[in-house]
Amino acid sequence: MADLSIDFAGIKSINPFWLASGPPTNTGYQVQRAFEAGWGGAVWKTLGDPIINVSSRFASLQYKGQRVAGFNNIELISDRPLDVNLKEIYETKKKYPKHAIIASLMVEPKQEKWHEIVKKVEAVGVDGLELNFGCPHGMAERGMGAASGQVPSLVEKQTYWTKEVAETPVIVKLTPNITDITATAYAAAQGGADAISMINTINSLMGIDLDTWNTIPNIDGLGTHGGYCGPAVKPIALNMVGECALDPEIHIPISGIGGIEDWRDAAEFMLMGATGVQVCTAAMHHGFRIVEDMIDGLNNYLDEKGLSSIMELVGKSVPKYKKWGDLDLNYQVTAHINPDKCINCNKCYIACEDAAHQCIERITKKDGTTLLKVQEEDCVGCNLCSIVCPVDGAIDMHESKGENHMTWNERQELLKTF
Amino acid sequence: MQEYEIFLKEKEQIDRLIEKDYPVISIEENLNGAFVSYRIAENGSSETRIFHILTANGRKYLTNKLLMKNQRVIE
Repeated sequence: MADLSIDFAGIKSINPFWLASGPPTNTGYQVQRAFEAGWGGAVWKTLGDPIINVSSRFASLQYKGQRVAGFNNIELISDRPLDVNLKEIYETKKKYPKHAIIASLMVEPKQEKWHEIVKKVEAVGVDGLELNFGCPHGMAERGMGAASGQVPSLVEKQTYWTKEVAETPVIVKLTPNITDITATAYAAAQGGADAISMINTINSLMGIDLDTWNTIPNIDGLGTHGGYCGPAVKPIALNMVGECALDPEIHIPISGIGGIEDWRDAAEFMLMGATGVQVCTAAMHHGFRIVEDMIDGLNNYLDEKGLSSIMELVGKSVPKYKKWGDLDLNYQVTAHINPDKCINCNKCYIACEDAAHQCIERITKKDGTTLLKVQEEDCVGCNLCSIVCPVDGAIDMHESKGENHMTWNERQELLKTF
Repeated sequence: MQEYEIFLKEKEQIDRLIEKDYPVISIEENLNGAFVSYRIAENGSSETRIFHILTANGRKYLTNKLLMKNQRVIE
């Protein structure tokens, strides 16, 4: 059995699975139940100046029978008094000293505000701080959350103010609602952050009710934009983690967040450079006990790979993630349809004919049945046919390498010589 | 299939260019593809010709061949 413990920027955790700041970490009752279930840490629901929430608050994207393919919320930070939260953090930490408790914080961009809250939460024994520069709704209208997180100079300044008084590691949680997340990640590092976490939720509107024309969710007929999360955002989050992991100027640990539902997702984030992961939507959908499968699955995976520690996984895919211009133009994949498995549904034929390179031939045999065949010389290896194929193994992509290696960048260098 | 046939013709011309060792003077790439200027010196006279490559595979093939030629020179 592998060692799943991590040391995240000095915060020790028995496993890499933390609950992200959000509804599941609203109270001591919930966090203690989560620790009992096996979570290694919890980022307490964001603490800050008192707020009042609206009702209703959540909505989900249900796609072709899949519930919660994406999730949207317009809930704000904790609406409970700070002292109540601090008391519960203190009690929880006392009861679970080996579990990591991180306080998520959001206050106005003023030095004295940051100093005040940092001192208060550290006094009750938190293991670290997470600065919430990410929430895109509500708080952003008041200059906090994503409104701060979209301006690199504000990220740097507020991180610096926090670090002036913080005695525990400071994690800066970044918003994905920005063109280049490395700009704010770099600003956080410049401000002295010990780590970054990403991504917070993405600006979203879940939908429109076609009968009432109300936006979803609606509050007495009115709506507002929310924060999108859940499985649908995972590819966006994974790329942003990768971009930061690749950047040599951002040399601080990353906590991966965004659509993580199981151990596989977690392993992918860690391979892409995250030292640990945070989960919220999946816990809201399936409950705290999903962590049991996450722990077992990750353990088995590490055993299969012959790894003795989860830390051996961190960043292993980062060197494989390149700029487009560094990819080999001579590498080729070609589709092959396996007639033994093909059910002749024609999905690949239609997709290739309408949206790709017209390289699948539909041959009518003497007995009247059809056979689908790839014209290999025309196949560019786009993968569309294998993506739309409903039968596993009916279409394989065969790879071949060219005589030599040539990237776009190498090619452009060559052309300059003429 | 049509594009592949165009590529095969381009490939033939590129192979000839390389095989005959005609010096490439310039390669200009623009919105319409690649225009390769090369010099033919035969029977005491020289002439510059332009070869228009339309297909992406053709453009890739040309630079692959030139890259390999350069590598051979270096070796």
